[in-house]
Amino acid sequence: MNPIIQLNNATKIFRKSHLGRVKLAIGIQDLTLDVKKGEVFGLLGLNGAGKTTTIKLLLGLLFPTRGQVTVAGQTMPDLSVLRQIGYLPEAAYINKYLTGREAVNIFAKLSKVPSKIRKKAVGDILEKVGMSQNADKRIGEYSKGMVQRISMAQALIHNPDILIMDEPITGLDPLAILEVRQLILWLKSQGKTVFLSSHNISEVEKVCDRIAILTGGRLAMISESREWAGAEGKLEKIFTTTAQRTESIGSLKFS
Amino acid sequence: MDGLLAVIYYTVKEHIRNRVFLSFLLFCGILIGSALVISTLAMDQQLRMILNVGQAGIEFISLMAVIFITVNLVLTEMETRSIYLVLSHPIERWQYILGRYLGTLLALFAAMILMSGFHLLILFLKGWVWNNSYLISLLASMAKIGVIGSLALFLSLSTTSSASAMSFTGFLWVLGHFSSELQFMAEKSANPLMKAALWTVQQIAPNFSYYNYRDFWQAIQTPPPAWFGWMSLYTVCYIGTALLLSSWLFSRREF
Repeated sequence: MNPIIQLNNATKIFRKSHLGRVKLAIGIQDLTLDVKKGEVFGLLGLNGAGKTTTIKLLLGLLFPTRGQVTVAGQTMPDLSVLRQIGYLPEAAYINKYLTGREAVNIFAKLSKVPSKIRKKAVGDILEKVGMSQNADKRIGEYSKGMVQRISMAQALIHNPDILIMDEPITGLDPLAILEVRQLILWLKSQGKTVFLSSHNISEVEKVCDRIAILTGGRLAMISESREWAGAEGKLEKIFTTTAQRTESIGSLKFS
Repeated sequence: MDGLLAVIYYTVKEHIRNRVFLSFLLFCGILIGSALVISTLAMDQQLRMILNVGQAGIEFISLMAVIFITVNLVLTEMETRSIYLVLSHPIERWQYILGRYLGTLLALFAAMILMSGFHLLILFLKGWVWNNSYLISLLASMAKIGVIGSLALFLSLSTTSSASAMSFTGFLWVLGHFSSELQFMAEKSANPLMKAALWTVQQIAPNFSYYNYRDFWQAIQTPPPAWFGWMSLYTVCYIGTALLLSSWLFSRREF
């Protein structure tokens, strides 16, 4: 099966200059990955490993310094591909002055949902994410969980083929985590491709078909679900033996 | 087009519901009201005082508002990361810039019309008789706001902080009122470096002499038709250039 997402030696180097001094920081380096259509793919790594950089490259928010990032056969950044992508960020960054309905309607327009079906599509998706009763309140009045639901709605409103989720369960309560898990499994059952980043290993092992572990912006390993399925704690062991801290902090020494 | 309209729509909503925007309106109401008090100092010129102070107040508050709001227009969305969600949808970057700019202008023009309505009410209550020059000077003020807004937007994208962008815009706004003096100094300067520097500043700073309709009105003169033509042409060219440069800068920006 042809890969729907491909990173080919993708490298992102950030250049920061302050008072004439230039500092280079590696986001990701020579990352090569393939994600198949209909697959749930997890990107694991510690903080600063390059997970968010990878996701931003897939969305065209960052441009690769070297190498190539391809989504649905198109080299990113490419606007036409964004119609096929739904993005669920770690924290929902939605304009707090809008109501939930207004926000979803705006994202529907941005995603070129036809005007004939837009109103119904917005109503349906708000119903599906359980926000129809609170849809006309301003987002500034919402709880974190409610904002996350609106974020889900904006990611799904245009029925995308690919869902990109950046730390989708970080900061959520156990019930909300369960709901996100259900959403991912439902998307998989619909034949959608899900690309998610996380450092919550127990959740990743419940939903992912394959995972990649990033360390210091480099690919450390790729593992398939058959390697950890049914063996509790196996993925955690794989992760802890593979991932290495690249920040200049040592490990805790209380043992 | 849907994308552009969506950005315009949410920008207008954002401004109208923002307390900062409303406080600008309130402050202007106080300023126009205070024109009534000041006018009692010049009993024989009371109407003229209310007219001049009110119009100058509307323009000044609108200029303050356009600088403050436009400088933060994109920077705030970058800080709150809400720009990630917008740009992860299929919208051209120039559409985003144009939409944010037009949405801000629409909200500000609506506020200027509201403030002018309040001003006119006071004038009519004091026995003032309608003069078309009021409308023309309001339109000239709006054109001035459009020009300074486009400059503020460009500077906010080309500098590193909102403080520096606001300072540069304020500086160029002041210089824009001394365009003919700058030209005179450039012509008289013997130093070629100074000549070049003055010429450059004169070209970059908006030439506000094109918008001095109130000077004609106070001198009971009617400007020639060419004056209107030059004002319109200058406004379109200045805003067009500033928006083109802003879009170019924004298209190269990574998030």
